[in-house]
Amino acid sequence: MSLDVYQRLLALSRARAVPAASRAHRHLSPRPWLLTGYHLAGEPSAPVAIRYGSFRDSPKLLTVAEPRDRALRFAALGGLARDLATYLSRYTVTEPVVRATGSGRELEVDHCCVDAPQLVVPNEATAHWVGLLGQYLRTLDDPVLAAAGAHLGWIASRRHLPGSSVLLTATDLLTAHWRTGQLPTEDGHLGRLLAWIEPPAGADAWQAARDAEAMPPAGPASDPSWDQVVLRPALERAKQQGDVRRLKLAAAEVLDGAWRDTWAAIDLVRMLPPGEHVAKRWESDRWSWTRHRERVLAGTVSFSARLSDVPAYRFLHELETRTAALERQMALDDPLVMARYLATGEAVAGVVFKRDPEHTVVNSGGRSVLRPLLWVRTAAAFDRPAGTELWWGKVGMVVRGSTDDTVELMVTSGAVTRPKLNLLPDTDAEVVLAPFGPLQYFPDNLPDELPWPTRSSRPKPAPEPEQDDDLDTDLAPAAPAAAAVDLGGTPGRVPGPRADPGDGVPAGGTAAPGEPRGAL
Amino acid sequence: MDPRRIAGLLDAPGCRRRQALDAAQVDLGLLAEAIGAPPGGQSPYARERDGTFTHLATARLPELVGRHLGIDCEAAVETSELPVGAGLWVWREPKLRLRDLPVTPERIVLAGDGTLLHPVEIRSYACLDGHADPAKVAGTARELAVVVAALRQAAPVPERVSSRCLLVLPRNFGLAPVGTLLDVAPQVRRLGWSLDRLDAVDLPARLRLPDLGGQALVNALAAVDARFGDGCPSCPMYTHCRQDAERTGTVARAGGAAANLCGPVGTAVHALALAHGERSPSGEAEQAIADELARAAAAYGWAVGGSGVATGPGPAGGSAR
Repeated sequence: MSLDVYQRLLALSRARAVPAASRAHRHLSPRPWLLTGYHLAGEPSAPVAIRYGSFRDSPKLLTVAEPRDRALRFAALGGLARDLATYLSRYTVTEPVVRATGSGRELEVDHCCVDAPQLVVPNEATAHWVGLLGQYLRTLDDPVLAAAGAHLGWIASRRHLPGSSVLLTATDLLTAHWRTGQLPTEDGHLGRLLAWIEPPAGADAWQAARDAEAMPPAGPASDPSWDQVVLRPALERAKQQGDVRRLKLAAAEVLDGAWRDTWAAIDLVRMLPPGEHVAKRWESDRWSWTRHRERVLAGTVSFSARLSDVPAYRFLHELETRTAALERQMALDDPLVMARYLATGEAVAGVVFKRDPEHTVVNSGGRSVLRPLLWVRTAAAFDRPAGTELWWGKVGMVVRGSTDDTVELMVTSGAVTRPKLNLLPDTDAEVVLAPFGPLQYFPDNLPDELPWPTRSSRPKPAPEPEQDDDLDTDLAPAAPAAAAVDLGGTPGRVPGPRADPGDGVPAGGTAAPGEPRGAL
Repeated sequence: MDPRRIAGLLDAPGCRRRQALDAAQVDLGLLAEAIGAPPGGQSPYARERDGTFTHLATARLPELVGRHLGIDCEAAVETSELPVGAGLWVWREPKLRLRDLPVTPERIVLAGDGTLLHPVEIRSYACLDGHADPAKVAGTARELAVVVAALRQAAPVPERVSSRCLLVLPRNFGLAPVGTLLDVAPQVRRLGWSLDRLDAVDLPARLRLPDLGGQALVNALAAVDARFGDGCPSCPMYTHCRQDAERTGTVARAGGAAANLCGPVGTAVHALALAHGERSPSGEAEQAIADELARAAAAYGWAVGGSGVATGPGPAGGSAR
């Protein structure tokens, strides 16, 4: 996108980030739950320290004195699971909603949660880790931990859906609303991003970004030299003398930066007025949360590692519908996003200099119908061919022809009857004609079961024998008590974990029939 | 040089400075010290886990090799040369060469079925529900390609070294090993292409001097052109080249997309002057770039409610908020 490049160049020459949006395009909960933490290098299932909570000034800090010891890990994660359950319990209030069913002629009353939880993490890697933690917790036997795993699984599954705000990353919040002049991969570093957007007084973005790199990483992977110099002595002290103060101090110190930066990112986006469609997209998150809660209560939560044919088709279909809807909604909400389409030439900005509201054409049925004409003066040539469809709000039109600085358009919908002619733009009105019209709906009409074979007829390879994996990396595998617990735990996994990345995708009969998927 | 370093050539295609760095086999420790790069390294916990898993996986290798490659073998046998026949071998600290570059992996595990030799690689990142981190697998594939290419150079019959490798990873959250076949033939071909370009680099003689260190080393490297781009953060010269790019205000500092759009227009100031019509384009290519950027500038100006074009460079713009 040329606008994206132009903004990056502006930012580069000003040594300061440039706004890429003038509205907030993500829903921001008044009370989000933040999570930032470190896990042991190479072992996502072994958290060392996690800082979490919804209060900026009083975060909770979880530390594990010996991350590779299952018992200690369970105790620490149990605290996290209970706090998560307490936070989620605030979002159980429902309200009755009347919605159309069937062919749209019957009405029924459904209940939807009035608000849904929101988890905010510093970066993509932490968001991915949240999914892994959920997956790990679901393999455990403890009902509290397994329930937390199911919730984290739902939260993580929403991350893949464009337009969902259940799991937000601070880096995504900032890159969606600002452009920097650094490499796109460097935008994944939260400290660097913030330095570009709000460099400290007296420093330019380059210096501020370099300073930010010297701070402890935002996780979930820690700095290897910190592991060696600080973490190792602290863990050994905690293990041998039972004194966790040093570990807690060290963890609080390194996690503090990411914690404050994540709040700073939320504050920055909160200063922008919310886009008009954000509440509508959040409604789809609320419905998803409502259905997830129903499944939790009924004990039918399921996750699968891979989707089979029809659910995979439905998930892709939903991703495509949501992507298209999100692009359209963001452009209609925000002139700075619409400017991207102006820059590529898909949209047209100009002034109406001539109108012919009485113009008629003869349609295929031989009747003469009203099709008003508009002429728009533009700053640059419009280079799309005649027949291109453009929209001005609900008024649809097609291009009849264009010159170096004018476009001739015929209105085809929205204002083609005499009572509605006042909806046309006046002469001398400034208009932006967008490639986005009213929401298009592509129904998904695949049957639940395909009538043709979709899998290869080759016999499947014999399943690998169940191995003693998932037994973790116990430091003391010889400890008979721990081993006994582990072996007992293996068969008792949460029944058939199946992850619907899409969640809204009906998995078997568990999903809500009326969940407004796709139709954001 | 270890395979990872040579595989790094594939991260930064077209950067002559990076090619010179590797062709001259510059000591990276000296280099990091000279340019003041932050220390890298591996966490002690990652090393321990790596060691534990390698130990566990090595014990189970015959079973995995049997299942995935169909080779019946006993526990791995130590070797000090390229083995022949069927079996499983561990070759510690082999001295291999790839073109003129020394390749010195810590060890290579090889499984032979009588005609073909398959490299076996043990890594400790997890394979969750049959999925491993694609970025890590891609990195491993590039390193394996270096090993395959070096083995082929050492083998009397190069075709006997197969590009189908067995990758052994821990399953899920535990340490039980699971194997997957990985064909690195595409990576081997890309590596060959990169090495051909490497031969063509005419190195400044100064880079070849032994005991080159400190500022002299940096100056010698700076004499070779760099191409800044999206793959740079993994390069040992990254912090140096980055500052270079910041000082000159080159378009590439903002990423590959910007560099591709701006083409022959090298600096951001130049590109913005074209966009704002403060400078007339010379030639057709610049005209096209100027048109594209001017349209973006007009759209941006319209969106921020400005006067048609955005305010020029400089903090006076004030619209950065």
